[in-house]
Amino acid sequence: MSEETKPNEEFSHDDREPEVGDVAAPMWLMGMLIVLLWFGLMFLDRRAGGFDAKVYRPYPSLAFVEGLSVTDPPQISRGRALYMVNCAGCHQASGAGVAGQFPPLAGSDWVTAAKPDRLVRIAMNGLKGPIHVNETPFNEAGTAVMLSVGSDNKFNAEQMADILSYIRAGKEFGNGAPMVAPGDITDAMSAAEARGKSQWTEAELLAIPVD
Amino acid sequence: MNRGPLLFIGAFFALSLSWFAMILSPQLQIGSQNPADALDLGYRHPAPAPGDAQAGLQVYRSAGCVYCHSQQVQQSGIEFDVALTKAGIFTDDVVKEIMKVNPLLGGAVIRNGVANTNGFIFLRDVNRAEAAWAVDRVNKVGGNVETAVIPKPTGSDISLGWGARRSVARDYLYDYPVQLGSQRIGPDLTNIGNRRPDADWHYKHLYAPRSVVPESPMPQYGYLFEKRAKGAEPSADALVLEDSEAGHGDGGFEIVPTKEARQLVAYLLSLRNGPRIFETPMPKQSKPKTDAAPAPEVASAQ
Amino acid sequence: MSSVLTQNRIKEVNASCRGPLMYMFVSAAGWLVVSAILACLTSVRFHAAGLLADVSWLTFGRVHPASTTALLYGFAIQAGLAVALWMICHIGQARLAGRTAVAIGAGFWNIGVAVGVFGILAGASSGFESFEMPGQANLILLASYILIAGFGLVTFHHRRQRDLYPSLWFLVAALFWFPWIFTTANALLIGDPVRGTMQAVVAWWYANNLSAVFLTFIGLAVVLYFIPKLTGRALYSRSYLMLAFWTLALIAPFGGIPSGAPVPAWLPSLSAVSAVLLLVPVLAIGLTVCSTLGKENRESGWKHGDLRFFLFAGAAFVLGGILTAMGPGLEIFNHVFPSLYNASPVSEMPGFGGTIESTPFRADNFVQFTLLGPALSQLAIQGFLAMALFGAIYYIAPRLMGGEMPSLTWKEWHWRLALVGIVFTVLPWIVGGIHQGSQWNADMRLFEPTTRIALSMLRVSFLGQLALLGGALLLLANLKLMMWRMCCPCCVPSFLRVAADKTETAEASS
Repeated sequence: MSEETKPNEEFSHDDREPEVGDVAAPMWLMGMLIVLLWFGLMFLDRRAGGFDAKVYRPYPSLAFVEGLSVTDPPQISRGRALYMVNCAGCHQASGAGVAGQFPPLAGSDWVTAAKPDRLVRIAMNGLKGPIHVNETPFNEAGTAVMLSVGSDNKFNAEQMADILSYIRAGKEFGNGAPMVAPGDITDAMSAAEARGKSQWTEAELLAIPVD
Repeated sequence: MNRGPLLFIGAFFALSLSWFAMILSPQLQIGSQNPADALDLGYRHPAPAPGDAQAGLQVYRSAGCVYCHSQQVQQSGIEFDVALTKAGIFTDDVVKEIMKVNPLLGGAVIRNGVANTNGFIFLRDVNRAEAAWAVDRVNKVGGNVETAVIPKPTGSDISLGWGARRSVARDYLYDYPVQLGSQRIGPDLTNIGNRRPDADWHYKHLYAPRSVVPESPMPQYGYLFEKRAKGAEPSADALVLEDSEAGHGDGGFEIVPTKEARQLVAYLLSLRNGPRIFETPMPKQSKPKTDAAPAPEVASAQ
Repeated sequence: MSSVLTQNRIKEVNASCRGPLMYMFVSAAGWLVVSAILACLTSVRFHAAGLLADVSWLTFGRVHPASTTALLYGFAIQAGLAVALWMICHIGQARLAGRTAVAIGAGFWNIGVAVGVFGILAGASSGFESFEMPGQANLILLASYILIAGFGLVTFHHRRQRDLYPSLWFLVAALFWFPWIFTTANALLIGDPVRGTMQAVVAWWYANNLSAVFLTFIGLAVVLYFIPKLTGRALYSRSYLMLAFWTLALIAPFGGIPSGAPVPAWLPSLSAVSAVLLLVPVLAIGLTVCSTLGKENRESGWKHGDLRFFLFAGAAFVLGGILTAMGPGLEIFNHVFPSLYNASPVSEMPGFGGTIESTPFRADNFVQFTLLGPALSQLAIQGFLAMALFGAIYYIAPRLMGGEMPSLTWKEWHWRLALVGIVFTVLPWIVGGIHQGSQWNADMRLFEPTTRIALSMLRVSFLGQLALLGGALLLLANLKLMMWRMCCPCCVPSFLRVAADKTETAEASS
């Protein structure tokens, strides 16, 4: 049974409403609030990822995540996509080509030349007749023809630069050659445009300087 | 503080503050996200789940699976591997440096790795400072040597095999309702489609959990199945059960999953931990080996 | 602030509240029983996993949310609103405005909760924790809430006693709070759902605001009013409470986001900071209550039939606040003073050391998916809010009906069973949760061993749930018996009509 010791406990209507005291809130409580707030803000500085949408725990900042994110430059991603659609059918997704028929692009001396001028012309206008890549002959019978892929698809300088960047600098082919900027190939592109759909031969291409 | 209006304004201010910070700002950040490039695999992630899986999510919700199972992989830290991507010209010097960096590997392994460089990992499971130090030492050799630092997320979930990387907001773009869960009486299900890709196991687990996981506290979901008389031949989807299961599936009867069970299992099988995207540093993933052109990009929904 | 109310004034005020509030108290007690039954049904599964499992209505995943929904919406909010209305009337010395509307609102509230619980059992749960009721039920609840709280605010506006006792700050703020968060949650989760994890953010924000702000404000209002009232001492300090009120209002809404959630890092960090900053109001309120009680009441109050409920509630509030702040507090300590932290013994424990660059800090594993979460939530709802509401009901109901509770024995047993129930649910879950957390921190390769101990703790907590059920039944029985004896033993509408007439008769029978 409950022991009812206080007079107020007795059931009655004589309720007094409680009074409210006047003791001032102590400074140390306010101080504690300020100190905790300060710690909290320091914590947010280190653990809130700069309030960035792409930073998740436990990464401390966007810069940290960027540093870890080993991505290809956008030209190479775009170039890969274009290559897969337009070139991989013959030159293969691995860039190895087909022996005797389609020259490889991976490890090819044509690809790793200092300037991409010959490559632009081949891609835009096409190639006919035999070609020697890394001393190896391809298309000796001269029956196969590479069509003017670039002109057919109306690639502009940017797209051309992307594909060439992928072929030359993409890690998959391992060519390790420098990327291509659209500004580097303006002359080559105009020359290719002027030529139209008439394919190049190896001899004509070798006349073009690439150093 | 004796005036009602002051209280009202104060409460309104406090609530709006938290509304701006916790509802509006996150909405601007993650509520309007779109699928992103899966950096190694060439498609956009996530893609909306096929129809059966969407319906399965509703079965999951209505059965209340979320009260025992979570669907979010956690990560508590990061560690690094250091790999040699190009040996360059001065291979002997490279070998010497690597021996200094990681003597425990042994000379033969290092020489072999340097000779056949194809991402030879010569230092594992170190923190960022150590990785940077190792990279510096090896890069100093020069001659076109190239190294790479491979980030690896760590955490209990990841070591349990519940996912290769932590879950991020983008993974849940097409889920309604998002079933993140807050309890793990049962294991996390983010990657269950990869961990248990066998639909039959799931049907058995739903119908009679203790037949596949002894001592499991999971209740059975008999209402997702139909017990019907066997025809001349057992139907293709009838469950094959051990006869210890309370006499079900005994002579003349077979247990067949209902449409809801099928949808639920389709949903479970669609649950896969996502690919590498910008927000989740992890080792690069390799595409499935094929010479054909890769699958076309999944159209991104708005 | 005048401290003497005239007898007649009190009687008038009580008479105006009697009908709707008694209805709400009895309904709330009824929902408490329903929730306790469902909780026992939930908990018994851990003894025999196959029990009743094949029936879709009774599967764990439906009975569990039905139980928490009935507890939160059927009991906690309803009883909380009833007590809030009484306090507004009583402190403000005003009669309850719109009694009939309030009673109708309460009736619809019960219909809404019933539709909601029924919907959950039928499989139409919304999928968001603490917000499981289907949208239709939510609309009914919102409409009823507006009726009930609206007239509460009207009463507040027409109060005679214009000075605001601190409890009223909490109550008025709470009455405004709920419709805003409820509408936001409905709009963003059910009406025009936001995408992806944003849904989880809204759901967590809502759940946190519901329990850590709305229900906490009501509980605090109750504790801060009844302790001084029953002890006859003054409430210690208005300024302590001003500090507590404003810090709670500004800081508590930022909590609720779990630390490993798939959302950008700043959201869980904000919640962690919020949990730690809340130590200030928790401390302020703890000190206020202790000083209000005074030394002798702190000991003898536990024997006092009504006061002990409020003492327990106050203690549970402070304990809950401290426990909630511990995890985030360690994390903040770790990141703000890493060298100091690493020198301390805490960092030796597995998972408690380091930063991302070295050994990652994994203390969150203790709170994230373990039974610690439900333990703290149970401590808050059952230990703090429910106990405060019980004390309030046991004080208010006799004064409304003009007679003591029919059975003081039942009240005593309710107290004991509630104590046993809370201890036997919260403690086992804390133990189980700590074990789960330490297993996960140990980087174990097998999931199964973790759950074995957690499961045995869940089995032990079944006893606690039974005790809580017993207590709830006693409360309901007490209230119902009181209604039977002192009212026309008919259905609800009749007693509403008759209550006004019975003011004199009730006095005569006491």
